[in-house]
Amino acid sequence: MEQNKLAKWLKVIVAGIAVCGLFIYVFLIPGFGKAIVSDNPEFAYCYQPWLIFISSTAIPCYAALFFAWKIFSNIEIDNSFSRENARYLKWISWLAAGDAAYFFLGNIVLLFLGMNHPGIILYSLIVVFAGVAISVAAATLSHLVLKAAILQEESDLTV
Amino acid sequence: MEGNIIINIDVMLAKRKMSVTQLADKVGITLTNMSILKTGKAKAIKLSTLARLCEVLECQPGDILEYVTKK
Repeated sequence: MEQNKLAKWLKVIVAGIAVCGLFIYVFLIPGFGKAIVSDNPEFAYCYQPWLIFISSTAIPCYAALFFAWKIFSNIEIDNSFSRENARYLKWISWLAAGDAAYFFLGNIVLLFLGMNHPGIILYSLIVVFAGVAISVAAATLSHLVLKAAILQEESDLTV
Repeated sequence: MEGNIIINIDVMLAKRKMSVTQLADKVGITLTNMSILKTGKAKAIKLSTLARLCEVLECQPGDILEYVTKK
Protein backbone atom coordinates (compact mmCIF):
# COMPACT_ATOMS: atom_id res chain seq x y z
CA MET A 1 0.00 0.00 0.00
CA GLU A 2 1.26 3.50 -0.86
CA GLN A 3 2.43 5.74 1.94
CA ASN A 4 -0.20 8.33 1.04
CA LYS A 5 -3.03 5.77 1.20
CA LEU A 6 -1.67 4.34 4.46
CA ALA A 7 -1.60 7.78 6.04
CA LYS A 8 -5.18 8.48 4.89
CA TRP A 9 -6.35 5.17 6.40
CA LEU A 10 -4.57 5.98 9.65
CA LYS A 11 -6.40 9.32 9.77
CA VAL A 12 -9.70 7.52 9.16
CA ILE A 13 -8.91 5.21 12.09
CA VAL A 14 -8.12 8.18 14.35
CA ALA A 15 -11.42 9.80 13.39
CA GLY A 16 -13.20 6.50 14.01
CA ILE A 17 -11.64 6.14 17.45
CA ALA A 18 -12.66 9.72 18.27
CA VAL A 19 -16.27 9.00 17.28
CA CYS A 20 -16.34 5.69 19.19
CA GLY A 21 -14.85 7.44 22.22
CA LEU A 22 -17.52 10.11 22.03
CA PHE A 23 -20.22 7.42 21.90
CA ILE A 24 -18.68 5.63 24.91
CA TYR A 25 -18.28 8.76 27.02
CA VAL A 26 -21.60 10.39 26.12
CA PHE A 27 -23.92 7.36 25.98
CA LEU A 28 -22.40 4.10 27.17
CA ILE A 29 -20.76 5.17 30.43
CA PRO A 30 -23.64 7.39 31.66
CA GLY A 31 -26.08 4.63 30.63
CA PHE A 32 -24.04 2.04 32.50
CA GLY A 33 -23.91 4.33 35.54
CA LYS A 34 -27.68 4.93 35.45
CA ALA A 35 -28.29 1.18 35.22
CA ILE A 36 -26.15 0.59 38.33
CA VAL A 37 -27.99 3.39 40.20
CA SER A 38 -31.42 2.06 39.24
CA ASP A 39 -30.44 -1.42 40.52
CA ASN A 40 -28.70 -0.03 43.62
CA PRO A 41 -30.30 3.32 44.62
CA GLU A 42 -27.94 3.56 47.61
CA PHE A 43 -25.15 4.41 45.12
CA ALA A 44 -27.02 7.39 43.63
CA TYR A 45 -24.69 9.84 45.41
CA CYS A 46 -21.70 8.28 43.58
CA TYR A 47 -23.10 8.75 40.07
CA GLN A 48 -22.18 12.42 39.40
CA PRO A 49 -18.63 12.35 40.92
CA TRP A 50 -17.79 9.17 39.00
CA LEU A 51 -19.25 10.57 35.77
CA ILE A 52 -17.23 13.77 36.11
CA PHE A 53 -14.08 11.81 36.98
CA ILE A 54 -14.37 9.39 34.05
CA SER A 55 -15.32 12.18 31.63
CA SER A 56 -12.22 14.12 32.68
CA THR A 57 -10.01 11.16 31.76
CA ALA A 58 -11.17 11.67 28.15
CA ILE A 59 -9.28 14.97 27.82
CA PRO A 60 -5.73 13.48 27.62
CA CYS A 61 -7.08 10.74 25.32
CA TYR A 62 -8.42 13.27 22.81
CA ALA A 63 -5.26 15.36 23.11
CA ALA A 64 -3.26 12.22 22.23
CA LEU A 65 -5.58 11.58 19.25
CA PHE A 66 -4.93 15.15 18.07
CA PHE A 67 -1.15 14.54 18.17
CA ALA A 68 -1.65 11.21 16.38
CA TRP A 69 -3.55 13.10 13.64
CA LYS A 70 -0.64 15.53 13.27
CA ILE A 71 1.83 12.63 13.04
CA PHE A 72 -0.22 10.97 10.28
CA SER A 73 -0.49 14.31 8.45
CA ASN A 74 3.32 14.45 8.45
CA ILE A 75 3.52 10.88 7.16
CA GLU A 76 1.13 11.88 4.35
CA ILE A 77 3.57 14.57 3.12
CA ASP A 78 6.53 12.15 3.31
CA ASN A 79 7.87 13.66 6.51
CA SER A 80 7.68 10.50 8.62
CA PHE A 81 11.09 10.67 10.25
CA SER A 82 11.21 14.17 11.64
CA ARG A 83 12.03 15.81 14.96
CA GLU A 84 8.47 17.13 14.94
CA ASN A 85 7.01 13.59 14.90
CA ALA A 86 9.42 12.55 17.65
CA ARG A 87 8.13 15.48 19.75
CA TYR A 88 4.50 14.56 19.13
CA LEU A 89 5.18 10.94 20.16
CA LYS A 90 6.85 12.22 23.33
CA TRP A 91 3.70 14.25 24.05
CA ILE A 92 1.53 11.14 23.52
CA SER A 93 3.78 9.24 25.94
CA TRP A 94 3.41 11.92 28.62
CA LEU A 95 -0.35 12.16 28.09
CA ALA A 96 -0.79 8.39 28.43
CA ALA A 97 1.36 8.25 31.58
CA GLY A 98 -0.43 11.28 33.05
CA ASP A 99 -3.85 9.86 32.30
CA ALA A 100 -2.92 6.50 33.87
CA ALA A 101 -1.58 8.21 37.00
CA TYR A 102 -4.65 10.49 37.20
CA PHE A 103 -7.00 7.52 36.81
CA PHE A 104 -5.21 5.59 39.57
CA LEU A 105 -5.06 8.56 41.97
CA GLY A 106 -8.68 9.42 41.23
CA ASN A 107 -9.69 5.90 42.19
CA ILE A 108 -7.78 6.18 45.48
CA VAL A 109 -9.37 9.56 46.26
CA LEU A 110 -12.85 8.18 45.52
CA LEU A 111 -12.07 5.24 47.81
CA PHE A 112 -11.23 7.63 50.64
CA LEU A 113 -14.47 9.52 49.91
CA GLY A 114 -16.39 6.29 50.31
CA MET A 115 -17.42 6.12 46.66
CA ASN A 116 -15.21 3.23 45.64
CA HIS A 117 -14.38 -0.35 46.48
CA PRO A 118 -10.97 -2.09 46.62
CA GLY A 119 -12.29 -4.61 44.10
CA ILE A 120 -12.98 -1.78 41.62
CA ILE A 121 -9.45 -0.45 42.17
CA LEU A 122 -8.05 -3.87 41.28
CA TYR A 123 -9.99 -3.82 38.00
CA SER A 124 -8.89 -0.24 37.36
CA LEU A 125 -5.27 -1.42 37.51
CA ILE A 126 -5.89 -3.07 34.14
CA VAL A 127 -6.69 0.35 32.65
CA VAL A 128 -3.66 1.85 34.42
CA PHE A 129 -1.42 -0.89 33.03
CA ALA A 130 -2.76 -0.27 29.51
CA GLY A 131 -2.00 3.44 29.90
CA VAL A 132 1.54 2.75 31.11
CA ALA A 133 2.10 0.28 28.26
CA ILE A 134 0.98 2.88 25.68
CA SER A 135 3.23 5.47 27.37
CA VAL A 136 6.31 3.23 27.19
CA ALA A 137 5.58 2.23 23.59
CA ALA A 138 5.15 5.88 22.56
CA ALA A 139 8.36 6.91 24.38
CA THR A 140 10.28 4.13 22.62
CA LEU A 141 8.84 5.12 19.24
CA SER A 142 9.72 8.75 19.95
CA HIS A 143 13.34 7.82 20.66
CA LEU A 144 13.59 5.67 17.52
CA VAL A 145 11.91 8.30 15.31
CA LEU A 146 14.34 10.94 16.63
CA LYS A 147 17.32 8.72 15.77
CA ALA A 148 15.83 8.09 12.33
CA ALA A 149 15.23 11.84 11.87
CA ILE A 150 18.89 12.56 12.63
CA LEU A 151 19.94 9.90 10.09
CA GLN A 152 17.48 11.36 7.56
CA GLU A 153 18.90 14.86 8.06
CA GLU A 154 22.42 13.58 7.50
CA SER A 155 21.31 11.63 4.45
CA ASP A 156 19.52 14.70 3.01
CA LEU A 157 22.71 16.73 3.43
CA THR A 158 24.94 14.07 1.89
CA VAL A 159 25.73 14.94 -1.70
CA MET B 1 40.09 23.70 17.82
CA GLU B 2 37.42 22.45 15.41
CA GLY B 3 37.56 23.20 11.72
CA ASN B 4 35.49 22.82 8.61
CA ILE B 5 36.04 21.49 5.13
CA ILE B 6 34.79 23.92 2.52
CA ILE B 7 34.26 23.16 -1.12
CA ASN B 8 35.52 25.80 -3.55
CA ILE B 9 34.16 25.07 -6.99
CA ASP B 10 33.78 28.70 -8.16
CA VAL B 11 37.46 29.02 -9.15
CA MET B 12 37.43 25.75 -11.12
CA LEU B 13 34.07 26.65 -12.70
CA ALA B 14 35.54 29.93 -13.93
CA LYS B 15 38.67 28.15 -15.24
CA ARG B 16 36.61 25.59 -17.15
CA LYS B 17 34.09 28.26 -18.24
CA MET B 18 31.17 26.21 -16.95
CA SER B 19 27.97 27.20 -15.22
CA VAL B 20 26.70 25.62 -11.99
CA THR B 21 23.76 24.13 -13.90
CA GLN B 22 26.05 22.53 -16.49
CA LEU B 23 28.31 21.16 -13.74
CA ALA B 24 25.33 19.68 -11.83
CA ASP B 25 24.09 18.11 -15.05
CA LYS B 26 27.48 16.56 -15.92
CA VAL B 27 28.17 15.35 -12.38
CA GLY B 28 24.66 13.88 -12.15
CA ILE B 29 23.39 15.66 -9.06
CA THR B 30 20.41 17.97 -8.68
CA LEU B 31 20.75 21.73 -8.60
CA THR B 32 19.51 21.63 -5.00
CA ASN B 33 22.36 19.33 -4.00
CA MET B 34 24.82 21.48 -5.91
CA SER B 35 23.54 24.50 -3.99
CA ILE B 36 23.96 22.57 -0.70
CA LEU B 37 27.55 21.86 -1.73
CA LYS B 38 28.30 25.44 -2.74
CA THR B 39 26.79 27.06 0.35
CA GLY B 40 28.68 24.80 2.74
CA LYS B 41 25.55 23.15 4.15
CA ALA B 42 26.61 19.65 3.10
CA LYS B 43 27.41 17.33 5.98
CA ALA B 44 29.05 14.68 3.82
CA ILE B 45 30.10 14.10 0.25
CA LYS B 46 30.23 10.68 -1.32
CA LEU B 47 33.59 9.69 -2.77
CA SER B 48 31.81 8.86 -6.03
CA THR B 49 30.44 12.45 -6.19
CA LEU B 50 33.91 13.86 -5.42
CA ALA B 51 35.42 11.64 -8.13
CA ARG B 52 32.84 12.83 -10.69
CA LEU B 53 33.44 16.47 -9.70
CA CYS B 54 37.20 16.03 -10.23
CA GLU B 55 36.57 14.24 -13.55
CA VAL B 56 34.30 17.00 -14.89
CA LEU B 57 36.42 19.89 -13.56
CA GLU B 58 39.66 18.11 -14.55
CA CYS B 59 41.27 18.73 -11.17
CA GLN B 60 42.46 17.07 -7.99
CA PRO B 61 40.39 16.85 -4.75
CA GLY B 62 42.84 19.26 -3.12
CA ASP B 63 41.94 21.87 -5.73
CA ILE B 64 38.35 22.05 -4.55
CA LEU B 65 38.59 20.98 -0.89
CA GLU B 66 39.96 23.33 1.75
CA TYR B 67 40.29 22.92 5.50
CA VAL B 68 39.60 26.08 7.56
CA THR B 69 39.89 26.35 11.32
CA LYS B 70 37.03 27.82 13.37
CA LYS B 71 38.12 30.98 15.16
